[in-house]
Amino acid sequence: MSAKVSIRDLRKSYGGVEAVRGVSFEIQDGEIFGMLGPNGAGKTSTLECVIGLREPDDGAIEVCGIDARKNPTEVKQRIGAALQTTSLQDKITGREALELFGSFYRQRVPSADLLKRFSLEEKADAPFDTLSGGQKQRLALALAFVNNPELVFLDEPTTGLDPQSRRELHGEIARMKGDGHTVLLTTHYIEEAEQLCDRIAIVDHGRIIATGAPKDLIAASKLTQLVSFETDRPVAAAALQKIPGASEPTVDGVHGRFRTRDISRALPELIKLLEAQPVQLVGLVVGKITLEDVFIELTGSKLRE
Amino acid sequence: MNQPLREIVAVTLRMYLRNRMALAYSYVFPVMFLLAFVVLYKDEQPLLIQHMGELFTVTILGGACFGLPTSMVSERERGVWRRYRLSPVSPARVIAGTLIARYLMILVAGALQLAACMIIGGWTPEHPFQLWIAFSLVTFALLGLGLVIATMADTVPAVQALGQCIFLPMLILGGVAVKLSAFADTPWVLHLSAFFPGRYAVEVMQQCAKGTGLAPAWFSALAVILTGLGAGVAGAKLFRWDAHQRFAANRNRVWLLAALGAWALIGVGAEVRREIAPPASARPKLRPTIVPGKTADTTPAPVAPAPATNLVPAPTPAIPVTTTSVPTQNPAPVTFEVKPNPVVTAPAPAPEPAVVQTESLSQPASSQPAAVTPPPASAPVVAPLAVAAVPAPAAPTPWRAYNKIDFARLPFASVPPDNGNETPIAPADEAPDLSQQADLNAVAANLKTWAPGKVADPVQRVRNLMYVASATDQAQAFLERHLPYLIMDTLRAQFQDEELEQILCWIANHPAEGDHSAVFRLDELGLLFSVDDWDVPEIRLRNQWYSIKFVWWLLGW
Ligand SMILES: Nc1ncnc2c1ncn2[C@@H]1O[C@H](COP(=O)(O)OP(=O)(O)OP(=O)(O)O)[C@@H](O)[C@H]1O
Ligand SMILES: [Mg+2]
Repeated sequence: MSAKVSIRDLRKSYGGVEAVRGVSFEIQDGEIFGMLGPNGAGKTSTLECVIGLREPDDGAIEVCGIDARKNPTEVKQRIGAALQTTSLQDKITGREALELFGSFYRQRVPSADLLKRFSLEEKADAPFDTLSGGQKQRLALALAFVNNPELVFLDEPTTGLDPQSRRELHGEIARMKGDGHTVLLTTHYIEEAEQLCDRIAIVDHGRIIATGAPKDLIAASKLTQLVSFETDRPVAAAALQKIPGASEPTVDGVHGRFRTRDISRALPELIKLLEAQPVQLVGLVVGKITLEDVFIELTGSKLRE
Repeated sequence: MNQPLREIVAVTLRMYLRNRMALAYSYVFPVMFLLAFVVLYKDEQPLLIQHMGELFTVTILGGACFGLPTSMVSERERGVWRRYRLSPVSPARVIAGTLIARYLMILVAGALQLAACMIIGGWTPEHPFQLWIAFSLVTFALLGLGLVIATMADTVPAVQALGQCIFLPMLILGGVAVKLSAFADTPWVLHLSAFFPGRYAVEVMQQCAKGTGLAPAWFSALAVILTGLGAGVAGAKLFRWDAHQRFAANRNRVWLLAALGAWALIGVGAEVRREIAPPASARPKLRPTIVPGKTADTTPAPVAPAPATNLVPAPTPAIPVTTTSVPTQNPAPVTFEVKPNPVVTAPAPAPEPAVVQTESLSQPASSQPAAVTPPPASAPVVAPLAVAAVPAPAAPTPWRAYNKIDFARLPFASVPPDNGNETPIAPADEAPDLSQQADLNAVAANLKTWAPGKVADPVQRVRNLMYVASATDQAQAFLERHLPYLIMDTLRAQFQDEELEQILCWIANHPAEGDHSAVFRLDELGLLFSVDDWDVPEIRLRNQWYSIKFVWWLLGW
């Protein structure tokens, strides 16, 4: 498989702020690639440099085999994008916007098809300023598809949507992949990235700190399982330290938890320890580690604000 | 037009039509000015035709200084333009589409305004096609300035501030809100105004609505085009898609000089050409508020556009004609002299001493703009302007040096109105009655053989023919209102218009010069009046007034 996008050592600063500090990644044909990172990590800056909305300070950008910094217009013919904040003229209707933007491309998808596909038929002739947030978002997506792009860039496509719309949009993005589009999306939502993306880059402070398929990222984490339990009487936290392979033990009254890589060794040790107290085990949950745990481990910060 | 451009124009127009505020703004504004002009000039006939250049300029300026940049900047602030930038459409196309759409809106506003004025005033523009061309040139030039405003302003309020910076000076210095002739006493304002495109915009359109058309106004047209080009280059270089790209951080800021450079070039060009006097359309019309007095203490018309009578400071003692000391700041009245005519032959009585009422037409030279053209014939009047008996074919012809600038300096404001007692001219649509027509025919027939109308010297010949109208006027004969048409026809049959304008201008500037013996041969024309004692200075004064009127007439002002 050939790389649809190839970024080498991309750099971008705004005055004194270094927003992107040497980002490199590749996206393969037909892949959904996610950029996951906290606010201000540099996701939007990176994406907008790639699609030609911002001028990078340094670095090489190749999109569909074309040098995007030398020939941005040709790249723009082949890509579609929905920005984090898309705004159109107040009074323009969805149909007019699709016609207008469609006229800029060599290849175009009929507006009626796009309106149907993004469930905008009812609102096709409503002015932009009367659309709901979700409808605006869908129109932005429809606009990204007017030229039947090889490659689609979506900057936080689901932010601000209700769960229902978000689920629909997830379905839509999955379909893009099915239709042979390559997708780069940025998101705050770990489960979204985990669910949709073939590969993820975790971005923080303008750098990519990890890349890979979600399950590989989790597997590569030094954390694996989380053990939570409940007892009839409080246990001393210090006692949990004695369990071999347990890390980050915490006790909050009758609730205790710790992490471990070796569950088959840790569990018997826990039971043994509780019997020795003696304390009765009331409940026990062994959880798989999530991408969020990996994320927090890597960035040291919570994602959702 | 290719498809993207057509789409941008169509969408921009649709957005405009759906935005009621902008729509109201761009039509209410011109209507307000139109009404104000109707009130201001209600006494003029035909109503408003002399002010179309000003009205159109206001309309275009409103759309260009505020309408265009406001919509551009607000779209940029909203991020609409970033969305365009995401697509392969070129910035040139987005700009062109926006400008074309705005041009169409302004054109419609202008057309409505024109239609309203034509209905109110009952006239049609003299050069409709050229008017459209001129309107379009001005619109694109001023839209160019609007584009520069849009690239400079980071926010919509900044547009308002910057727009005012261009709009107000243009209104004031461009001769739109204030007549340029009002600045006759403050030449520096006129000089400054030469650097603002407003006056050229007014001039070029006015000349097409009523005047000489585009070609003679070529300098103004060129000034307008230069303004547009300079602004276009600056606008394109400074263009930015993104509200985040602030003007202060724009590395192309120096290109602003292209726009300013164009203004400077125009101003310098005007200075070099000495086109500093108010443009023709800003000149006072033939309905002066103050009729020149007969006495020396009459105040000259305050709005006279720096009249330049070619009276030269006396180099040698001659018969001095002390001009009225005009109540201006200039304390020292300047003494002019008019050389008396050389000896004149025959049946005439001794020439009148040249005590002519030049005072109403001359002002101290120092009140004129500094860059006033030196009188084309600054040499004292030497030409022996002879009557038939003394042909002087080799006489120098200094009047040939006169040009439009000199014509423009004629004191139109000081000439009595056409419907008054002095130098009357019948309205163009008033036909002489049958008996008048018969008399006119007789005079016309006699003119063919009238010796004073045949003298070799063209200036004297024109002067003699003008006496026919002037003397008849002085005699208050009943043909007086129609004779000017006959004289004009007779003159135009003998001279090219331009030559005639020059000669008439010379006569207007040298009222005391030449021979007036022809006055005493008017009976040969069969004019049915007899005057025992001709008041020659008075006839000469009327000759001067009619000459000015004829120049004006020929120029189509
Ligand atoms: N136009 C700009 N001018 C100055 N600083 C900017 C600009 N755009 C972004 N930044 C800064 O660059 C850094 C990265 O911003 P960016 O928008 O790329 O982050 P992000 O990962 O997309 O954040 P979010 O998740 O909030 O969208 C931030 O510190 C931001 O303040
Ligand atoms: Mg972002």
